[in-house]
Amino acid sequence: MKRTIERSLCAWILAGAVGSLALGMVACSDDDDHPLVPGGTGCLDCHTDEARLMATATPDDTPENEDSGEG
Amino acid sequence: MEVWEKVLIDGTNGDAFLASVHGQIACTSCHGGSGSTSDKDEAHAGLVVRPSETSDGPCAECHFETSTMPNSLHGGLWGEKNLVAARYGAASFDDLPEGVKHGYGQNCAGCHTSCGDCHISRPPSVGGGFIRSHRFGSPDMGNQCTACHGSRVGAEYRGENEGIQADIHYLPGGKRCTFCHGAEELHGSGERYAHRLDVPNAPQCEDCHEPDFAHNKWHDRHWDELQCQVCHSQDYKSCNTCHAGTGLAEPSYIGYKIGKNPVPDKRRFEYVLLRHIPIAPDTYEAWGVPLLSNYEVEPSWKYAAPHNIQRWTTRTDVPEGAGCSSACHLTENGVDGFFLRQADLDAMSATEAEANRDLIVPNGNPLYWN
Repeated sequence: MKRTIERSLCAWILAGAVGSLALGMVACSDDDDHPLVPGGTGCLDCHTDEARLMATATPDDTPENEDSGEG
Repeated sequence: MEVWEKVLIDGTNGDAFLASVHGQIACTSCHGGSGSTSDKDEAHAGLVVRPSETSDGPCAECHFETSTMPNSLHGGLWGEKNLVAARYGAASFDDLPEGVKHGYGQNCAGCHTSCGDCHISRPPSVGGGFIRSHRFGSPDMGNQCTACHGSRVGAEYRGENEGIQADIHYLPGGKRCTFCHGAEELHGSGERYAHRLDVPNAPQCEDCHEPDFAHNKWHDRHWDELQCQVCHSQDYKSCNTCHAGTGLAEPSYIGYKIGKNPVPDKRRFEYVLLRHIPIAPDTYEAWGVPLLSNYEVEPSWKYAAPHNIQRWTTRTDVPEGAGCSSACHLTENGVDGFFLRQADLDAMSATEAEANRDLIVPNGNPLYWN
């Protein structure tokens, strides 16, 4: 009887330790820094819409590089 | 590429990107700005166009390779920077005057690559822009590798120089650059190397090709003496007299020169192909350096491995019954010959001749040089 109680107590202690560890990992997760959701209505609404990008594009005044590269 | 095309995510590649691991991360997590508005200016406030520009950017959170990039040749341009410093007479690039460093940043540092410049977009030096709708992938030969390595290596490899075939590795099947130049080489080891030939894991012909000494008498005779490209490279491009900010003052030209190995500590060969590079004593005049005081400390003919390999070249394809020596050993002593000789030095300025003096070979048939 005493042995059974001791085993049950050990099992509960072990389960509690594992559960705490799991909770701790979740709590330390940096998922909040990189939410696993697509870009939001703003970003992809524009950047997947060719017509919208064309309409809002700002002309690129940077001179075209005529260099065919190094190396 | 139109401005709007550079940032469009659509088509099969766009769908693939959005379904990928990277596509599941909020755009704003890497690029900043705001994803909660459809107003362009508001959305782009605080935008980070190239988040992988620094090695401690968002890529580093998952990809350990980014830790080696600052010291890699592509990430830091250290080989190039070391030569600028050496010819100026400075101990290191950091010791150069601010005007020189600023000029370098304006005119030469465009080929510095971030993660995105090899895995997502065209490099800024050729205008940027997605090549696969933001889809991540191995470097694209045409849009990325040869965007920077275009005027010599890219043109040679694809056979774009008139009268000269493409590299045998390009046809058939079109071997990409990454077939030989892997991630380990390009990401670097974390150690900063002063020269591109010091980088470990750089490809060697012997990685795939074993010499057949028993059946190839030329390999038997010349294997460790001659660089493979001495026999198996076609003619290749050399350049002259670049000026910072304005480019080449004289046109590039196709040629072929064998000389003494300028880097015997890095490659085992005694004789190698040399390519003339466009550095001149007044190359950095626009940066406030009228003449490079240490110009002659580095040769202007450099170890070259032209990317236009063929089995049969002018050096190996000889008339019936003739030996390969008829294609090399009897070449003329003048500037039109295959070897870098006194005649080539005589055609240079005294300063440049001094820089290259150790690379020339004697006149006459190599059989009688010693």
